[in-house]
Amino acid sequence: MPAKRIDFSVKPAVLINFGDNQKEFHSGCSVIDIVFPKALYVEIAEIHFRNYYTARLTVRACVRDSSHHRLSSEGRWQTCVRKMQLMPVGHSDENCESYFTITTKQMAFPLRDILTLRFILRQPSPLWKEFRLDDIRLYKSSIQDQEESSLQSLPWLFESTRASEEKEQQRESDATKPEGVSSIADLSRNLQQLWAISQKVTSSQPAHGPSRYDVDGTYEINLLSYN
Amino acid sequence: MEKAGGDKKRSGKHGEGVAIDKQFLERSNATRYIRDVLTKIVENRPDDPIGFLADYFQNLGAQKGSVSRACQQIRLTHHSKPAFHNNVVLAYEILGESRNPPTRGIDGKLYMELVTELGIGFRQTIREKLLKKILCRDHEVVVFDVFRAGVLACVILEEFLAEAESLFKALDFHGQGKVEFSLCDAVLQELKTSVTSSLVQDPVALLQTAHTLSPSSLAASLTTITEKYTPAGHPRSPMTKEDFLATATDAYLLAVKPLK
Repeated sequence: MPAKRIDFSVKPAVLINFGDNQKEFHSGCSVIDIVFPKALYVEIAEIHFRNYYTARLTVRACVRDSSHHRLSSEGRWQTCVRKMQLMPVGHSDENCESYFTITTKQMAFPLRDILTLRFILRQPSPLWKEFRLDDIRLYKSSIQDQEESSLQSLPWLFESTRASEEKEQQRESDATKPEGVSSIADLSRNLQQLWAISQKVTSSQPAHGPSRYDVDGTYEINLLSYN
Repeated sequence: MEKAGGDKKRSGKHGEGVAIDKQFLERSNATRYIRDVLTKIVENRPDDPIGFLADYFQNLGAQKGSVSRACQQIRLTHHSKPAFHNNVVLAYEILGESRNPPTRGIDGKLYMELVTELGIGFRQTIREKLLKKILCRDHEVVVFDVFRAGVLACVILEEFLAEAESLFKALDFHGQGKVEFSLCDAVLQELKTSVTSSLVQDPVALLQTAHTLSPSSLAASLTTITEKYTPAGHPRSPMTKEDFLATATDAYLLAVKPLK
């Protein structure tokens, strides 16, 4: 079961300018607002995005102020993530297009009952005129948790990964060897090898066999005529 | 000055000699053969270049038919090497050109001749089993994909049988040449199940199979299978290596799509 994605709309990024709008002045700061038009109650556990030349990221959230009214549209602004470093050095393009995931661990408070989410992007270096976040995705529950729970259904996987080397060896020596077997490890290795070889054949099988028109050894006469 | 002149004369003579030698080599086709074989060595990267050279020239001298030439082409390199695919293409072309008139594809009859030649090293029973699976009808066109799969099935079976033999040796650690039937059967059943279960393209199934073949779970399943035999009380005669290999081949052929 995939983690539930949250529907939202992204307002166009606003580049912060000083004074006259016409004058070009690289402030190195831009703001992306995210609103949730359809949802009444928004809870975010993970934020995924791809960076594009942003040096630092601050995330602020407008949390619904439910003290007055349950569905009031007023909220308080709180800083959820403060100045998260996305690029190690602002001037160099190292890690400038990396993927990031912000989980609840990195958030100052859990994002619940959110009205608006605001990303404040900063790029102090004048080298990069354009900076933004791409491919923003929000998830209700953590993807990692989901993956773990789906893996829980495969107990044998955990059995072998969790068991330490020692324990494994212990079990091997404990395992009752069938009569007349010298080394079960050798047998296992041989069998695995044989299985791997048969896999090579499986992967080389053609998608289609020779094309034939007969069904159980007899032909349909209409298929053989030319028209 | 005189000395320098003498040098010049000598080098001129030398140059003439080289030219004559060169002409001779060209005339006798030796240059061409050497160049060909060097290209082949570079392409196929054999582990034993001297042996490769020896085989190459021996086959070159022996003037054979197109089927054995195609067969040699396939045998030039191991199937895991990148050059193998190219060799199979060449073999396919050699066979196609040998037809009268030359064609780009081949028919079932030529294909049958080739795989029979490829499988000549197998024991009779094993070869019959293999051919039954990979042969198609005589008159049918064999497209390259089918051709390649058939050839691969042949050459990989060789590797498989070698491995199966070492498995038998591991079972037969007393060196008696035969192993208790129940044990062999249990091992072969494990092999069959793992081959069939991985026929579906499912990564989880693959992991599962790998786990069942791990030492600890293998020990457990072998014990349960062999225990089933004991109370039944009708002892079967021990399995010989030939029987073991033949049954292992059955497991292998489960992975091969039948053509007929």
